[in-house]
Amino acid sequence: MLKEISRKNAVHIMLVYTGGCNGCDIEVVNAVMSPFYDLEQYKVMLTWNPREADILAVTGPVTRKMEPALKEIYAAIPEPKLVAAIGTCAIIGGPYANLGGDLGSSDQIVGGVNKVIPVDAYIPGCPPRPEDILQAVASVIPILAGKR
Amino acid sequence: MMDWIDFAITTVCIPIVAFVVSTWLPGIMRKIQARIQLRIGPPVLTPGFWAFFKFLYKERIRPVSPMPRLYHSLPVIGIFLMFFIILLTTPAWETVLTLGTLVAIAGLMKVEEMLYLFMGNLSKSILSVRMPYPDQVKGAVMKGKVRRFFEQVAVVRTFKLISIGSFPLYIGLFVPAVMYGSIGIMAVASAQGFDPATFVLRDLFSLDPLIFTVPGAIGAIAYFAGYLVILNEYPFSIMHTKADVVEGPTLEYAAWARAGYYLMREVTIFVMSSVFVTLYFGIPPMIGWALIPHIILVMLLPVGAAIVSAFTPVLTFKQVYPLSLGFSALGVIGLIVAML
Amino acid sequence: MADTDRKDRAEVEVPMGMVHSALLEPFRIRLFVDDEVVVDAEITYDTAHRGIERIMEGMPIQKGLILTERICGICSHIHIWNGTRMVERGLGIDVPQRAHHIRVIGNELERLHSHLLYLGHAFEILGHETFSMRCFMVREPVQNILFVLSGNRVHYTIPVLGGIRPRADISHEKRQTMFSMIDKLETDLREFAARVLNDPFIVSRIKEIGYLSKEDAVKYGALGPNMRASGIDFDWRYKLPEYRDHFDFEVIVRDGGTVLDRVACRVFECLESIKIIRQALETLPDEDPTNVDFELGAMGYSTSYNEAARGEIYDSCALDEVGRIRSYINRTPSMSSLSAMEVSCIGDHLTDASITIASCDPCLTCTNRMTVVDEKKGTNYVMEPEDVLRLARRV
Repeated sequence: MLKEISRKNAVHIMLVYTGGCNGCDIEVVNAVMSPFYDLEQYKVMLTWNPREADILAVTGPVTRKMEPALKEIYAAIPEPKLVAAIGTCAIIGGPYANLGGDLGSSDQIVGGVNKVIPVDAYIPGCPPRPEDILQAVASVIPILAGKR
Repeated sequence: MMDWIDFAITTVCIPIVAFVVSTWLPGIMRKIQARIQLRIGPPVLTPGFWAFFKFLYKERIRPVSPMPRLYHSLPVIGIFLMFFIILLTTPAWETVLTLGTLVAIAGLMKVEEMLYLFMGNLSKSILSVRMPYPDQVKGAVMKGKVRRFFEQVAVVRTFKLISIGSFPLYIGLFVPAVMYGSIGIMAVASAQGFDPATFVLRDLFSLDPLIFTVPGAIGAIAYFAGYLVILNEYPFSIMHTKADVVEGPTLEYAAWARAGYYLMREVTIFVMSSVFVTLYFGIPPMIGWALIPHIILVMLLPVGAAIVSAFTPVLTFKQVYPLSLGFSALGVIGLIVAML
Repeated sequence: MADTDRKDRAEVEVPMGMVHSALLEPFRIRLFVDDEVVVDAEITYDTAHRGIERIMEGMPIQKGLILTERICGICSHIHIWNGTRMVERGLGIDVPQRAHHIRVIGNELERLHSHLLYLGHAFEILGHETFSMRCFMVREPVQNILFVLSGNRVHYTIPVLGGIRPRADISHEKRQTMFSMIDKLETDLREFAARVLNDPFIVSRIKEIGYLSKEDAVKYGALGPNMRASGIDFDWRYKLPEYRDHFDFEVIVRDGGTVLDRVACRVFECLESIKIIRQALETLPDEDPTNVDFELGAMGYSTSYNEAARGEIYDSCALDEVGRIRSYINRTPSMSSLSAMEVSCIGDHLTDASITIASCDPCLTCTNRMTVVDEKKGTNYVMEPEDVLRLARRV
């Protein structure tokens, strides 16, 4: 009872950029930091410490160099935790995994975030609008509250 | 006998009151900052109250630390220290134990500051050295015998802040002592016209608070500057600055230990402000009518801190040293005026 | 004590990144400190490498140009514009003047939003959340103007070979809307700039730190506003016919070379950008913005330079006989600007070093494209330090 209410009322979100093109990053920053969208009024607060976080927002395709870091960061977050993959690159790897000329698609990226860590929410768009990000974050909070 | 019953009631109730009120304070501060930033901001209970309970219900993990149990016990020690400080300022404890002196409070505050040193040294977070990245490879710069975690950088800063930054607070603490010629807290309060046995709300206007005198006003300014340093609020949050050390010594706290850290911070905000009200307004916390004006006045310092911190960046030591010394000098002027 | 002495005495290393609050993008900073003063620094940026030049090899040029936009989400327009410009130069395609004007508007809007993002991020690093928020408040209208102009907030994709996309054409109503939005933006921006540059706390934090001398700026190749803040008067906009012949604007040059100068330089550049946008909207020629009368075919090695928000950008490629990309090269300004910052943060306090590094406006996603081609296997990979080690052993 208190558990669900408290989880609904205070959520910490952590951002990890895994090497995307910045487009999603700035829209996430817009959603989190700009007074226009202001994620904090929905009881979601920004943190940079994995130990404090509940939701891990990942943008960009996971590059090979970022893969171990992302895994470690995910492991550092105590349960219950959710992962939101923001943007097409974070979902399926975007153009880097799916487009290619003579040499095929890029082998510098592992692919979407779900190839590295389990993902709970997918927010498509290139980049998604801040409104979409707000809506998605607001809609995963009940899932977080319902966890063990 | 009545004294002992009063003592027992105070010992139980004042910490509960402190807990209940202090969980509101971060939310109020955040809300004020948010309104200054032209946005709505989180609900008042979210950053303090609900976040505390949320962390209680998170998975208990073992922190990456050479001494995990000691590391986890530090916030608890901090909370008890703070409760001890506020109990020392109550009239009920004064009559029984007679420990409530300014020296005792100053000593306990030092211990509270020292806790951050231990925290920093015991924490090994993922964010700096442990980040899986091939740093020391051929072609990279190869120098430096020690690879330092953020927390240890923060420890160095804590040490500097302990030695210089919190001067204004201690000077502000002792202005009332010089003014009234006693280090006893009840003596200070009663010198301002407070009588715990007979206090009713009507007496509020017959008090003679120190803050409305010249040395009191100067001391209050010094105390406020020291309050910001103790809380690591902007502009003195160099130990917790997001720009390099992220959160400093508290990086590895998770789940219930983080809840403990949150509570420790909240209670620190409350108790340091409560001590201020006791000393400068002459209204100590007690179970009785005095509690109501006390709690209302306690809001003053956090609100002021929120407004100041919304308009200032993090200052580095280049600015912290002169500012801190300036406020200390101001406090010393207050002391001299008080002596005259 | 001489500076070199301290450099040798560094005993403590403080690594930062790749996930860190001061870094919007993944890169690794290793600061070597003496007490808390930075005596040496190493910035490594290969974490955002995605091999975009490599996947463009052999792609049809139109498709490849859209992909250039995905190099970076902050400076997306300049990448596609410069790529398009390069191909137009190589194939000799005529571009209507209206298209040039709209491309310039896109670039200047992008400069505005990039600089404002930079300022917002800089204030966040300084710990001044209120100014950061207000900066984002000023920035949001720019994104809305871009939305009105092109229909997207981040990847606008305005240029196409021979002109601009029809959806980015500026109709009369659109022009009026943009005018009114820009007026509002300018008042907000001027107010904010005056407030920021006169704030005593902010100025005391950023003055006299991160000094980059004119010689060092040349030696390490700082570009764009970083170079101009160190007193070097150079801007590609002076050389490009699109700008030079049609618009009247100033290039902001400051002599200080400190973080304050780099910040102030960008603030004033924003105001110049508004000036250019207004001129472009006023003098927009009335004609068909897209020339479709050209043939794609074999193109020799063609190049193009342009002035992005962060400085000089360079693109080059060749096309084969059916218009497919051959060896696309794109060089962005952040790479050399960052190495200049490696020097300029020496002597700062640790907290100042992170604002110094951020003050060159690093854009890592643009930067990470160095690859090694192994001809035997026919694969590309980033040169990992282990590989360097292996190569070294083999030799």
